[in-house]
Order: sequence, then structure tokens, then C-alpha cells
Amino acid sequence: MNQRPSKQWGLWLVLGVALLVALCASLLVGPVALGDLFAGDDGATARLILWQIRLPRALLGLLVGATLGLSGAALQGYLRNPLAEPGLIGVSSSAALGAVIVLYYGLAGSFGLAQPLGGIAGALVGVLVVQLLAGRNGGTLSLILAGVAVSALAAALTSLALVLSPNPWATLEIVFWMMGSLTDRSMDHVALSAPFMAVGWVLLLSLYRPLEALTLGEDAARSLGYRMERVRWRLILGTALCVGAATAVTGVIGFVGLIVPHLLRRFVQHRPGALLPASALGGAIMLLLADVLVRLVTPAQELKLGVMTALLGAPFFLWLIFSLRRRLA
Amino acid sequence: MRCRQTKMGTITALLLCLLPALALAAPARVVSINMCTDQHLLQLADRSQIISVSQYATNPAHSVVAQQAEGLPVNYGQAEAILRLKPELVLAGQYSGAATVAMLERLHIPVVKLPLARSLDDIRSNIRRMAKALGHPERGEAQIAAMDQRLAAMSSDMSGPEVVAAFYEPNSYTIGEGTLAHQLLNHAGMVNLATLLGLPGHNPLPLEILLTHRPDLLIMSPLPERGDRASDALRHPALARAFDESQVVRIPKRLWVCGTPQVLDALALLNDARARITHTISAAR
Repeated sequence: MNQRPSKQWGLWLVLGVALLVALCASLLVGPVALGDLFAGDDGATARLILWQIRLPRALLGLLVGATLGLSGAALQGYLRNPLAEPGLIGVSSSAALGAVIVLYYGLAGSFGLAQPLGGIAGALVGVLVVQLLAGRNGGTLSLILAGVAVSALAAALTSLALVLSPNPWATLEIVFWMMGSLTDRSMDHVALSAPFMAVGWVLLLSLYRPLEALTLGEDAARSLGYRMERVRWRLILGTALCVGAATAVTGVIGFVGLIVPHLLRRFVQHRPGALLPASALGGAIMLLLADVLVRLVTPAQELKLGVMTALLGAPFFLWLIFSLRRRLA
Repeated sequence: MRCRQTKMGTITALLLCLLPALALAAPARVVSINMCTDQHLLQLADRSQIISVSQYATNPAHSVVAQQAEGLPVNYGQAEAILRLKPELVLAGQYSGAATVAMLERLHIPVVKLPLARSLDDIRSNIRRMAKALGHPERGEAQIAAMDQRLAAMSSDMSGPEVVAAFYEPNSYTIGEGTLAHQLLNHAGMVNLATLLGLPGHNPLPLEILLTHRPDLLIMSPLPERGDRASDALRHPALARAFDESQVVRIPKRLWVCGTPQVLDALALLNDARARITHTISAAR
């Protein structure tokens, strides 16, 4: 399968370097210019800003971006559907709904873990409903239709829950949950969500071999000893865990899981297994860069992250469809 | 004949005497559809005049007279429901429910609109306007006199080092010039960080900027019991590390969200905070 191992190494090297660059950029860009940051009388404020404000933001960008890229690649590989992605199939919106219900109706006050758990529960319900509606071999169209329905319903219920909650900021809160943001997230948010995301990643990365086998067809995969039922549950649980925990702290961020696997697929010789780690890295890079752009383009009133990923992702996606059609024609 | 004329004269005189009273006749059925007019209404009118208050009147987070509003019928500012109450007077905010107010005016229902209070002078003229509309101008004057008396007694010591204070609100917003909060801050003898940064009105103030400028005092609302994303900014660990609790004054929103005489309670809290901070600064020198 590895016809061009040298090119493979090149890919990992490029992704690794790009990730480092994006991570550094995320730490260095912010409302306080780099020069002013270290111009202060002592380094205390600079340290506070770097370690308590920018580091958690960069770490969450990395973790959430990797989650979105990885889950997008896993869903696309398993469902053999190029449009499968947590945002598009309604998992992210359901996760946001779960987190909102827990957060605004008092449960999160009782124990901190309630917030990610609410997001995970919401995501799980979302995946299961879409699975039920579209089925494993339901085809592209029914999956997307089911996803649109679940997304719309979850988004509407999220708005309803926020408007009904005793909160004077309901409108701004709705924008956050629909568009996502990393602004002023703290280490608390990292600590709350990272363990769940890590477990989700392990489950999704364990699909490496089954997904490669699946390219030969379901029967072939079964004859190779993979139990499809187990593979499916690992996908469902893994997606729910990482997307649920990510969305619970950052809101819904779309397009990353859709774009990144498409971008990287050709560089891993269209192997769905190898695409998993590549998309995780790619997703982290894309989200970190989008978050840097958010701070550079509109420094005074930060644009929501989901707006930026859509601005970056949607035109690319249109170009992708266009070039695909031209190749087929 | 003469006797009759005198009688006529007496009646005319009596009627003339009654005229101003008639013009100021207290409206018997008053409906308030705005959070701030609710609070003026409850503090100036007879209870029998009040037919309905807005849904926010009983919320202790926004209303200084939440307890008095308890038990009054609540409206949600919808024209239909207001019409059914057959109001003689509707009290509305200048900027709230423009469509509803226009509809009521088309239907010839008297509406008094309350402008936003941006200063203590605005508060005085608003109280006057409300008291007059409710037919109790003397109550308004009494309220203003009591307010001015308290204000005079409070006049704080303006000497000492300059104290820079910053408002830090949910969603990382700050408050600057052109607002009641800002005027009270100046009245307490402090400099607003928002002014130094050139931010009038309500503007986002990134946490990083706040930390680099390190104001002497942070003015915040008390944290809500329930978590929400808006107040995450106020719970950020970096904030707790940069400012200790003695540098923070928490002023309940209800004290100055509307221009009621109770804004002086907020001013008193600001005065106390300034005295505390100047004391610390002087002690450090």
C-alpha cells in the first residue's frame, strides 16, 4: 500500500511544522501587540496573558480542531460519504443543545463536569437519531437530509432554551453557541474537555485498520475478522465523546471536519485509515489559523470562529465541487 | 339679581380653581410596559392607579421595587393585551417597543415616553416628568429634594491620589462616557479606564487589554448563581490572579440600570470603594 513512503514522510513533516507554526502564531497574536506585551515594567502581566489567556486558547484550538478533523475523516471513511461531518450531520448542534440545557438550567453549577457531559449526551443522541433516520447504507442524500433536520431542530431548541432561560444576554449567547468562539476560554475549559476528547480520539484512531479494510467492501472487512457492529459503536461513541466535549466549551464550529479530509485525502493515497491522523493534524492547523485570523481581521470586536471557518471553508468547498464536476465531465 | 350674580361669580371662581386640578387629574388606570417606568410608577403613584407593570418589574435583579410589584398583573408589552386593560395612560421607554407605542398612539391612547437617564440631571427631569404624568408632581419634587439632600451629605473627599477604575461586564464589555454609570464613577472622583482608552458607551474590552492597563479598581456585577457563557469572562482565572478581591467592587445591576433615586446606593458603594483604594495606595507609598 505504501507505494511512495518518501512522500508520506514529507506529508507528516509538513503537517507537523505547520502545526508548530500555527500554535506559535496563536500564542503571539492578540489584542495586546507583542512589543507592548514585553514592554511592561515586570514580566508578570506578560506571563499572565501568555499562560492564562493565550495558552488555553491555543490548546483548545489545537484540541478542538483535531477533534473536528478526525471525526470528519472517520465519519466520511466509515459512511463512505464525502459530506459526512459532525457539523453537517447535526452532531455538533445536538452537542450544543445538550451543553446549553445543562449550563443554563442550573445543572452545571452543581458539578463542573456536567457541561462536557451534557455536550456528550447531546452529541450521542444526535448521532443515534441520524443513524436511525439515514441508516448505514442510506446513501448520501438521506444522511444529509437527516442531518439537516436534526441540525435545524437542535439549533431551534437551543435558541428556545436560551430565550426561556433567565439570562439578559440570550441573543449573544445564541450567536456563541451557533458560531463558536475561543475568546477568553481558560485552563478550566481545557481541563474539563481534554480528557473526554482524548478518549474519543483513541476510539476513532482505533478505526485505522477497520476503515482500510472497509475499502474492500463490508463482506471483505468481515472476512478479515472485523466485527462491523463493534466498529460502528466505536465510531458513534468516539464521535460523541470528542465532538460533544469540544462543542460544550467552544460552541458549534463548522466546516473544519468537512474541508480538511477532502484537502488531505490525495496526500494519503485515498486511504481512509491514514487519513485519520492526517486530518486530526490538519484540523488543528486550520482551526488555529482561523482563530489567528479572527484576531487579526477584526481585533476590536472579534468575529465568531464559525464565521471565519465558513468564510474560509465554503469557497473552497464550492471550488472542490466545481473541479470534481469538471473531472467527471 | 345681584345676589344671583354673586352666586354665578362664586361658581365661576370655584370652577376656575378646579381647572388646574382637573388638568392634573391623576390618571386612574396606568399601564407600564418598560422596566424603568415600572420602577418610577411604583415609587410615585397610588397603588390603585396601577393596572399592570411589565414582566421585569418583579425581577429583583433589575428592579429596586420588586417586592412592591409582587401581586400586580404583569404585561409583556404587547399592544393587544395592553388595549384590553383599557389604560388611561401608558408608560413606555424611549427606545423600547417602538412598534407597540406607535400602535397605541394610533389608537389614541396617551403614551408618556421616558428618555434614557444618562446623568443625575436626567434622573431629576425623568422623575419630574413621571410624577407630573401620574398627577402627583409634589411627590416627584419631594423625591428629588430627598435625593439632593442625600447627595449633599455624601459629597466625598476628592483629595488623594488619582484612582483609575474600569467597568468589567459580562461578555467582556466595559462602560464609558455618555452613560449613567460613567457619570456616577466621575462623581465618586475616579477616572474611567474606558475614557483613557477612548471607548465611549458600551464596548468590548479584551481581558488582555484590561490586564495590561491594571486599573486600581474593577467594577463588576455580582456573578449570577447559574453559570452562563456571558459571565465566563468574569470568572476567568487570569482576572482573579491579577486583581485581589479588595480591588473589586460588585454593584448589583438593579441599583443603576434605571435612573431611580436608588442610584445613590450605587454611588455610596463607589465612594466606599474609592476611599478603600486611596487608603491602600497611600499606605503603599
